[in-house]
Parts: sequence; C-alpha cells; structure tokens
Amino acid sequence: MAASIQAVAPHDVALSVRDLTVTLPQGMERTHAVENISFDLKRGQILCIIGESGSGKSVTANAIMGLLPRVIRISSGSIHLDGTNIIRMPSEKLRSLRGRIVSMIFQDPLSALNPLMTVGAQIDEVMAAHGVGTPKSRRGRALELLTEVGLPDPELMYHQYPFRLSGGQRQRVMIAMALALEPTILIADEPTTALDVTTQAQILELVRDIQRRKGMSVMFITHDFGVVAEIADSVVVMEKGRIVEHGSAQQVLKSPSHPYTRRLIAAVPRLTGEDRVPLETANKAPILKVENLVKTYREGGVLFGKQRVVPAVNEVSFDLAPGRTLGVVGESGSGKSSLGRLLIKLLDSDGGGILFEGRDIAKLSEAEFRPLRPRVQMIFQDPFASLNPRSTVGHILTVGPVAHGSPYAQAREEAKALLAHVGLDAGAFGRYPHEFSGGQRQRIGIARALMFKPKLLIADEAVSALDVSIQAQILQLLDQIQRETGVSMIFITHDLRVASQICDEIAVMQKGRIVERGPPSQIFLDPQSAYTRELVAAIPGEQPDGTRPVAANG
Amino acid sequence: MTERSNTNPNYSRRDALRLMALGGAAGLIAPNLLGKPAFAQNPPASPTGRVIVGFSQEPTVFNPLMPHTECDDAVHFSVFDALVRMDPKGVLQPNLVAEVPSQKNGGISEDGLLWRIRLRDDVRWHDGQPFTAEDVKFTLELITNPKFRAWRTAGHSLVRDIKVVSPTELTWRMEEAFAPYLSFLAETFMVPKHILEKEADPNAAAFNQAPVGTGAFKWAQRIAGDHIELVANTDYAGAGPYLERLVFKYIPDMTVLYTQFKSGDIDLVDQAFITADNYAEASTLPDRVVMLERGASVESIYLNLEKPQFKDPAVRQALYAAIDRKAILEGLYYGVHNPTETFMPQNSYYYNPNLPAQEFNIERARQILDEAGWVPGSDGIRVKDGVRLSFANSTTSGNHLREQTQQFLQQTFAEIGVEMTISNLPAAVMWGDFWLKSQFESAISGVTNVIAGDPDVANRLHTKAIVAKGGKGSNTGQYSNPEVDALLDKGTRTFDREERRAIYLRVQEIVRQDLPFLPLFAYANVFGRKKGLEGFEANSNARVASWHAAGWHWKD
Amino acid sequence: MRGFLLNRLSQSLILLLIVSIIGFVVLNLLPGGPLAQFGLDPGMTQDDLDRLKEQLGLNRPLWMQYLDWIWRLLQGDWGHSFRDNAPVLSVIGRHLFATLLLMGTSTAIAIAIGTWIGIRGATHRYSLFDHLATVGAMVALSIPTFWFGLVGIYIFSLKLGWVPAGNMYTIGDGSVLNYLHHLILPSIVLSLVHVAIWSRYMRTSTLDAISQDFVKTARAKGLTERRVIMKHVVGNALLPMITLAGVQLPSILTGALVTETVFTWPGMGRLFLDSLGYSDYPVVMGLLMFSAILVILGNLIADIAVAIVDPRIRLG
Repeated sequence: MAASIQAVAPHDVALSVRDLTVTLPQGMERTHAVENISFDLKRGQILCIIGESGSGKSVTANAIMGLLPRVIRISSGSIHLDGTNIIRMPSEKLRSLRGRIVSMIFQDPLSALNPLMTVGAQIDEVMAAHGVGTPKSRRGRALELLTEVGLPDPELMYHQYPFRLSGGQRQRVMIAMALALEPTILIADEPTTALDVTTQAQILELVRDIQRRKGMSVMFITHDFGVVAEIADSVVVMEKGRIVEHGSAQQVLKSPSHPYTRRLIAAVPRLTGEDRVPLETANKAPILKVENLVKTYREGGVLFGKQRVVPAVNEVSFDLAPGRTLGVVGESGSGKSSLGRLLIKLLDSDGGGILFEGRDIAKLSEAEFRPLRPRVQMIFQDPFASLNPRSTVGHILTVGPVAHGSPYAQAREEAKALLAHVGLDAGAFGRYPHEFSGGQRQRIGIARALMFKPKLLIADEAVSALDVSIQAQILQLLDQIQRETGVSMIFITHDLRVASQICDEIAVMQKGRIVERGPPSQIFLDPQSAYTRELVAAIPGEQPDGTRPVAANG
Repeated sequence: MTERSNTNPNYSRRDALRLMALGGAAGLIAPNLLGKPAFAQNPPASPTGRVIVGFSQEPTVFNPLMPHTECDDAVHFSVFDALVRMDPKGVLQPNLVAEVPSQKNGGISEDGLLWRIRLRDDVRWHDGQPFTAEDVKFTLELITNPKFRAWRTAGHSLVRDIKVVSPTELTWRMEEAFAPYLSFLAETFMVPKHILEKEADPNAAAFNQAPVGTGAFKWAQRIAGDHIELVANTDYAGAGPYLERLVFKYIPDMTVLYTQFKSGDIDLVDQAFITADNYAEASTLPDRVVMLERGASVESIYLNLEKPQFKDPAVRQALYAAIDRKAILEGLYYGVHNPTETFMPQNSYYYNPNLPAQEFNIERARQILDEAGWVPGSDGIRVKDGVRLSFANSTTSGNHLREQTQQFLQQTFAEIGVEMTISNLPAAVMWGDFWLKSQFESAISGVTNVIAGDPDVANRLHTKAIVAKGGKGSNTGQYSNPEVDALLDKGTRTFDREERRAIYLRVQEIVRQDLPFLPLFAYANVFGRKKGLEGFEANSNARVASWHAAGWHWKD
Repeated sequence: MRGFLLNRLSQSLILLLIVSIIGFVVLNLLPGGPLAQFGLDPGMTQDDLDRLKEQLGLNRPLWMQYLDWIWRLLQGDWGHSFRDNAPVLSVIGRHLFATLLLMGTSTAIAIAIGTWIGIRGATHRYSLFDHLATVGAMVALSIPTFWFGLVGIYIFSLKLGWVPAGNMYTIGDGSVLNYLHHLILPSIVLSLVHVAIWSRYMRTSTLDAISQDFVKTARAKGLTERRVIMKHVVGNALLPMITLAGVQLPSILTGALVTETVFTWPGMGRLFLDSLGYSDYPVVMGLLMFSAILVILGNLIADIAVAIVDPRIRLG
C-alpha cells in the first residue's frame, strides 16, 4: 500500500507523510504512537483519518503541526508540507508555518478559545503573529472572516467573549481564526464530536463549503463513519498506530477490504427504522408513570437583580411498561438530563407526579424514598468519574447492598456472578477502576447498578464516551440484561442512532418539553414534528430510509 | 509589693520587664539635684547633642498621675518635677520644694499630722505659666478625685484640708501620721492646674498625649510604637539640661535591644537593661561603659507558713542551710547577682549588713532536722507528728532559670530527707489568687519590697496584710510576728531618719532569724551606655535608669 | 451586582458579629486582665485596683460590657485604649503607615518574584531551576522568619554594615532614602515566606493553564512561545491568584508580628502583641474587628477584581 502512493507528483500533494514513526516514552502501553504511516493529502481534497481512541490519529495531526509534547518524539519518516520537510525544522521556522500554511481546529470549542480575550482579539492575533497587516486592516479582515463563517452580526461578535457564544458559534470562530491567513492545509481534529447533531451538520457543511470555495486541503480526523460519509474524498483508517486501510471514501465505505474497517462500519449504530421486538412480560401495568413533571431553574440574585427562569422540564408526561426501554433524545439544554435526575430524585421536582409502581415518589422525602432507592438505579456517562478510584471494584459493588442490609458474603458472591455476567473475569473483583478501559469501566458501572436488582435503570448518555465498537458491545449487553431480568430502562442520549438500537419507544425533547413520542419506526421514518425531522435529517451519513448517502449517490 | 511575674510567659521581653528593681551606684557621690552636680565634668554651656535611650517596653502613659508602668517613669522624670526627689543614697532632696519638710525644720508637725510645704518661686511650666501652690493643691486633689483614673492613692487618701497660703506655700492635714508619704511624694509629679482644670474629663485630656510639665525636657513628639522625642527646656529652674534632645526608643525584643546597643543605634540601655547572659560579652565592647548595678528586687523562696510543714522554724533553717546559693548564682545566673540575707535593697540607707550569712551545709541541715525530731520514714522522707516533710514549689512556668533552680533545689533537699515537688503555673494564674490568697505551699518569686525608697514593708510583713486572713496587703507567706508588727507600726509613724533606721534594722534581724522566706539573691542590673556620655548615675530608688537625664551630657 | 453586594453585606455583618463575640469572650476569659500588672505594683493597694476596675467598667457582667462595647462601636466609637489613653482608631491609625510600608513593599516583592519563579518553574518543569525553586520554597517555609531576620541582621548589619540593624528610619533623618535603606532587609526577610507560597501556587496555576486547550490553539496559530506564555497562559494562571491575594490581604496588616519585633518596626503586628500582653481589650478588639473587616474587604476586592478581569463573571 505504501508503495502505491510513493509516486504522487509533489505539486498535487499539499501534505505528504512518509514512513512516519512517533515513539512514545517508556512505560506506556505501546512503544509507538504511530508506526510507519504514509499517506498524502491531495490539494483541494478532504482526507478523513478515522480510528478509535488510541489509534494515533491525533498524534499524527499534532506531529504535522509540530505540536507534539516534548516527551513524544518523531523517530523516523518525513512530513512534507507544500513540498517542505518539516521534520527537524528549526522551531522558529516551524512556528511561521503554523497558522499561515497549516491551521488547526480542535474538538472542544468550549475550551479551545481563551476565555479572557475577545473573539476579535483572538482572530487578530493570528495575523499579528505572522506580521500581516495593520491593526485596521486586520480588523477588517477579521470582520470579513466572521461573516464568512456565517456568524450573525460580525461587528458585535468581534467584541464578544467566547463564553457568550454557543458551541457551534465558537467552532465557527475557531474556523475563522484558522482561515485568517488562507492556509494551504486545514487540520480538523474531531471538530464536531462535542456538538449537537444539528450543529454538527451545520459545521460539516461549513467546512465542506469553505474547502470547496477556497480549494483548501483538509485533513479531517474523526471516529464517526457517518461524518466520513458526509464529507470525505479519501479515507485513512487507523488502528493502534498503523494505517490498515487507505482509499477513496466510496471505496472504503462501500467495500472495505480490511476486517477492522469492516468491523468498525458494522459497529456504527444506524437508524434501523425497525421496531424492537418487545419483551413479553406478565405484568402489563406501567412500572413508571410520569405526569406533568415540572422543574424550573432560577438564576440570579435573591434580593435584587434580574432573575432568570429556565424551565428545564416542562409538563412532561409519559409511561413505561415493565421490560421496556424508553429513549429520551434531545440536544444539549433540552432537559433530558434534568428529567433523568428528577426520576431518580437527585433533583426535586417543582410540580407533577412520578408514579413508580403506582406510588407517587415525587413528593416523598429523602428518608421516605430511601427504601425505594435500590430499585431505581442509574448508569452514568463517565464511568471513571462515578467510580471511586480508591476502592476496589469488589468494594464498589458490595458497599451499597451491604449498606442496605445484605450479608457481605452474599453480596460478594452476587458481585462476582454479575462481573462474569457483564463480561469481566472474576479477577476484576480485587482490582481498581483505573486498571480498566473505558468500556470495562462502564461494564462495572452496569454491574454496580444491577447489584440492587433494580426495577428501573436510568442510563444517562451511558455509551456516549465510548468508541463505536465498544458502544455496540455495551448496547448489546444492556439489551441482553433487559431480556434476562425484565428491567425497565430509560435511555437518555443525544445520539438518535444509538437510541434507535435499543429503545422500544423514543421521546424527543426540546426546551424541556416532549415534542414527539413514538416507536423508532415513527420517529425516524415518519417524524411528526418539524423538530424531529430536523434532528433526523442532521444525522451524519444517514438517510431515513436506511441507505447511506455515499453508497446511494455513488 | 512588686512581684517578678508577668501575665504572658511566652513573651520574653515582658519577662524582663519584671526586673523592676533598679541598680544604684553604691558609694557614688550624691548630686545636689537641683544644684550643679558635684562631679560634673564641665557640661556644655548650652544644651547640645542628643541621647537615644533604648527601652524594651513602650512608654505610653504621659499623664504621670494615671496608671503606668516603670518605663513611663522615664518620660515623667524628664518632663515633670515632683516636690522632692530620692537620690541614689536614699536621701530625699528638694525638687520643687525650697527645702524638704521635716519635723526639724517645722515642715511636719511633731505628731506628723500637719504638713507645711514651701515651694521654689522661680519655676515655670513649659508654656511659660508660673508654677504655684495652686498646682500642688490641684494635683493632690485630682489624685483622689473619684472620676479620675488615678494611679497609686496610698498616702494621698490621708490628705485633708489643703490650704494655699501663698503662691509658694501650702499646708494640709494628714488623717493619721504616715511617714512613708514623704517618699511617695518623690513619685508624685506635679501637673498644671491651668491646663487640666479646663478639661471636662481629665482621663481623656489632650494633655495626656502631649504633656506640659516643669521638667528639664519639653515634649516634642511621639512616633507611636517607635520613639518619644523630648527637647531641652532652656528655662529649666534647676541645673541642666545639657542635651538638646532626649529620645526614648522602644525596642521590643531584648536580644535586639542589646544588638542595637552593640551597633550603636542606642546610646544607653534602660529598662529592662542588658540580659545577664550578655554581660560578659558586653563588658568587652569597645567604646561602651557596662556596669553591674545593684537593684531593689530580691529573689526568694516563699514559704506558706500556715502549712504544717513550715510551722517549725527548724525546718526553715534546715532548708536554708541546704541551699547552695553560690552554685545557683554562678551556675545559672552568670554570677551577676549578689547573695543577700534580707528583703531590703542593698543600696538602701536602711539595709542591714550585719546579718548572719547563710552557709551551705548539708550536714548541718540534717543535724537541725534530727534535733528537731524530724525522723526519716520508710521512703527516706522525714516525718514528725504525722506531718511528712514534703511540699510543692511553684513559680511561673516557662521561666527556665527558675525551673532549673527548682530542679537543683529538689536534689539537695532530697539529700536531707525533704521532698520538694515542682508544680508551676502560667504567670496569670500563678500570680493571681493562687499567690495573693496564699494557696501555694512554697513559691519562688522576685520581689521589690520597698516603695520609692522608703523602708516601710508593712504591706509585706505585717499581720494585717495577710489577705487569706481577711487583711489587706501582700503578706502572702502569712508571716505573723507581734514584735515585727509593733515595729512596723512604729516605723510608719516615725519621721526621724535615724530612728527609723534603727527600727528597720531590727525588723531585718528578726526576719532573718524567723526566715519566713529564704532569700536566694538580690538582683543586679547590667547598665550599658556609650563612652563619653557623662553625668549618668544609677539610682536603685527609681525604677528607670533615665531618672535624671537633666544631668547627662556628652564629653567635649 | 447590587443584590450581590447586599448579600455580601449581610453575610459580613453576621461574620463581624460572631468574630466580635468570640473575640470578646475569649479575651475576657484569659487570666490576667488590664489591671494585672498594677496588681504587682508595690504602691497599688487592693482599693486602688477595685477603684480602677470600676472606673474602667470591668466590674460589670461580661454581657453588659459587650453590649456597651458593641453599642458604642455601632455609633462609631471604637473605645479608648487602656494602655495608651487614646481612642482606639487613632492608636491603630498611628501604626498603620509603618505596616503598610513594610507589608506593601514585601508583598510587591513577593508577588513579583513569586510570580516569575512560578511561571518559570512551570514552563521549565523538572529543570534545575524548578528543582531549586522547590527546595528553596521548602526551606523558606520551614525556617522561622525571626531566624532569617536575626541572621540577616547579623550578617548584613553587624558584620558587613550594609543595612541598618532594624528601625524604620534613623531618628533625626526622615528622608525617603533613609526609609528605603531601612526597608531593604525587613521587606526581603518578610517576603521570603510569601515568595515561597506565591511561587508554589503560581506554578500549579500556570501548569493548569498550560494544559488548557486554548494554549494549544494559540500555538497552532503560530504565536511565539513567549507570547503564548505571556498572553494566554499567565493571564489565565493569574485568575485564581487574585483570589489568593484577596485572602492574603488581612495578613498584610497582621502578618508581620515577628518581623516587626525583630526589626523594631513600629507597625500593627507589634501593636497587637503589645496590646495583647497588656490586655488592652479595646485595642485588641479593635484590631480583631479591623482584620475581620479586612478579610471581608479582601474577599470582596478579590471577587470584584476577578469580575473585572474575567469577562465570564463581569458580563455573565
């Protein structure tokens, strides 16, 4: 494969990476972050580098930028930017390339902008750093850029601080900054991963649009084959620091040759449009009935000053049958997480009822609710943050049941059985959370929730932080558990594709309200509300009919 | 009685402040206070130069009639005058009076009740107003004014019917004859009537922050927390001053006080002087005069005589004989202090030098106890009539020298079959009711027994002064001897110096014999000044070294 | 903002009230008292002491003394010093300048040097400089200030004669130069501990800031490393330091107890020790309230300063 790309004519190629090997410091999992990788980014094209966490895709980007941490060294290979090898280039010369020849945008626009500087100053700075223009001309250029990336009211935006901007707006500012000096190459490191699905669609469109207009070359790093399908001209698939497959987008997506690529594509959750076969249960009475639930946040002064009232959950009603899964989907700020916290009484509601097994728990005091708490369990997004790093897995699993009166020996046996059940070996019992990978930790989180034999599981973005292949495994595990134990589930996610995999019914939330509720077939194939339609349309790489755009168009 | 204690044991400089005793240059020539000092080595014709005096405590009270501590005296002695002054030999000298009143010159009646005071006619306040008998009357009446926060009222409260006869003469009647009052007047500074009578509240008068006196130096300014600056009063009625400026500098740490003496930042070290441990080094400093001056304070072991262990005089004699004073003085106190047999300051006119000297003799101590019938018990501790010869000794905890002294005593006492346990307390507790109401068994304490150089010690040794028995005073050891009581009563009514001397010599004799407390040593103070500062003399009858700055001058 | 201030004000008043009650009770429960030293004066009789006790109002029940004191305080009367016979505020005022001069100088030194060491330590992590700074900070923190003071005086005053052995100025010479000459040693000695503390915090804060994404953005923009550090890292690293500075404000006035004593510096720290030793309740209470107010002010100023510097708080 490497041999076939040796022959590319240099002037066609904006970026050429040859036999690049980056060494990791001793004591890491691998000796190399990337090993002998070679690829070209052709002028005016979008190259997607796809891989799961640890595949080396971000290290590659940082190596190209010359921004690798000191401890990580390039041991061999070459990186040609516009025909110039940047490896072992003096740092001052390398600096002059950054922002001018090659620019970069990052995953999290919330933290990628300096909170203390105005948007305008941060854009201005790129030009000033390379000695371009006068303060006046730079200001004009900045306003031009702000307009170009589609930000409203550039004059106002120029003087804004980042915290005033939404995530999408901030990413637009990042793009404006990256474009300021019209670089040859734009490196985008997961630029849409942290964004809501509709925003993601807009940013993808912007990147594609700008790339076309400017004839820029874009290296786009992602873990999402949906995104690849949306924008890629060619694709590099990386696994554990090596390139496993390389080719045109069409070729890789349609007929992947490497088993890893195939596995990755297969693991991508996609809109099934098919309803799940419901689990048959003896008891048909709803285990949970939510009626007109209300939660309002109040912000601002107590005595004086304007108070902001934010309705987080607004007149939400639904019910959930035993053994069924209700998906709650929505973008950030839709109130889906607040709803989850209300149901488990981590938050107190301001109105409405929560009938759990026929009993209204909304008005129960903490003490009254305590006996019921084991029966409603939660699985969190960040398994690491929710597991005490100083406790062994065994302790984490048994401490709750023992506190609720189980004998330790019994709890221990149950814990060991559950660990086996969620796919961990018995040795896990005596180990600490940090010894496990993200997917394994989520398994521990699930095991912990199951220790109480709950009637209801609330999973809040339980798979969002995981790589797709792991995601698929966890979803499978949850499905299996539900079928075995008959537990009911509320599955909160921002990812409609994930929701479509596991839910019997989906509730779409917007601004604290449920705007639509129905089985996946209805939500994805025949959405009733405009908002749902918008959401579904924004899913990258997906069409409601279940076909993939590249394949369809190609 | 002055107690060498303090309320803050962790604060070393305050520790040192307890050295209330002052050295006196024994045998030095007594100056004629308001005349030209006999020894003056050609002082300059007009005031020149400046002297900076270092203090380890800050003078803050400038109204001399209000409650103050010893360091404030330095300001009072320099800015104000009293009617009389006590010279280093313990002899009263005229200050604002034309002559010291006595029964001989008719100033005091034969029964001691009628007093007639004649004043100098050439004295003016710093603001130019003449000083008259009205000021004296005002001062004495202000002291007993119930609205005024006065300092000592002892003696003053006996004064009745003050009559101003003329601007330079006044009379009063005493409620009872009280000889020490004449000495007390040496520490009663006169304040200006014409300034203070206008004040609605004399406690809050502006005068208190910027005093106006008749003294050799005038108030210039105060930098709070740092120093006080006085300037020469060129219209001073007496001799001097010879210095243009006098500065009292506050240096809160004893080590730093000495360091600044060494570095030359200060010209003279006043309260609380140079610490004993620095004496040897200080003596070798070039261009410095360092003198060891006898103080007024005596360090003793006080025995609570109401405790059964101490009722037997034999016990007290045996304990006294078992104290190796030489070892304590030289081993712990750098040899600066002096052994003594009495409570009277060694520089006092009333000091009895002919008392039997204590002798350290363990054998003798044992013998005394054997003869008195104190027999060692099974544990080696002597017992008599069911009383075990064991007692606790207390002092300020944290006072390392005293703690070492205790340990030393503990060992030697054990050798004669006496058990002494150590039970020390924080200063504020130790010298509160525990001490004042005689709740201790035995205690180590340094005490100044006399006031203003007067030999009267009724407050310390009279039966009426036992608080624990309903009396008023500080006879905390509960010493009671009718013969001593009678002598003390007679002493306060006797004005004749020689007669009084005989009385107090006898008192010292009896007390030495009775041993109500066991004297360890008389304090000495280490005075230091720059070479070339002349006219300086120590006075153990005053509480500060700067008691007569009017006579100081620089050589050349 | 107004609500915030009012909220703060009410919290502050409660805090002051609690501080005053605790202070008053503890002070009065300590054995001794302002008359203790006169109790040992050979010329003072028990009658004199009883009279003074009554004249000073110390014979009243504690709660009555407290109510009287706080009632006067509310009317702006901080009381009269027992030791000084002057109004408490004027007593404090007389010592304010000396302390402000010393602490102001040493704080400025501490912040300037501490910030520099902290930034350099963080940007050159694990370098020789960083290791030396760490060890130096530990030494400065573990050795008492008075020891540094005495050693400093011994070496630089007595042996080398470069600087004076204490005092704020030479009596009779009040020139600015003379003040500065006297200021050198005590302000450096006093700043040692603060340099240590400040540099440690600044190092951590800078490391935090360096790991932020926007620093990577700044580098990706092609900024020079110097500008990345100065503009993006330091600015953000200093944010938490403002709060620290606010918390330390009260120590500016009361933090020099030992140094002021060693260097014979007529400031508030020494006033506090002297007043405590004398049981000068009105002044001790005054200083206590003064520093409590400074704590409140320090936090308030820090919050306002953070709000000014941080647009998220200023505009959010």
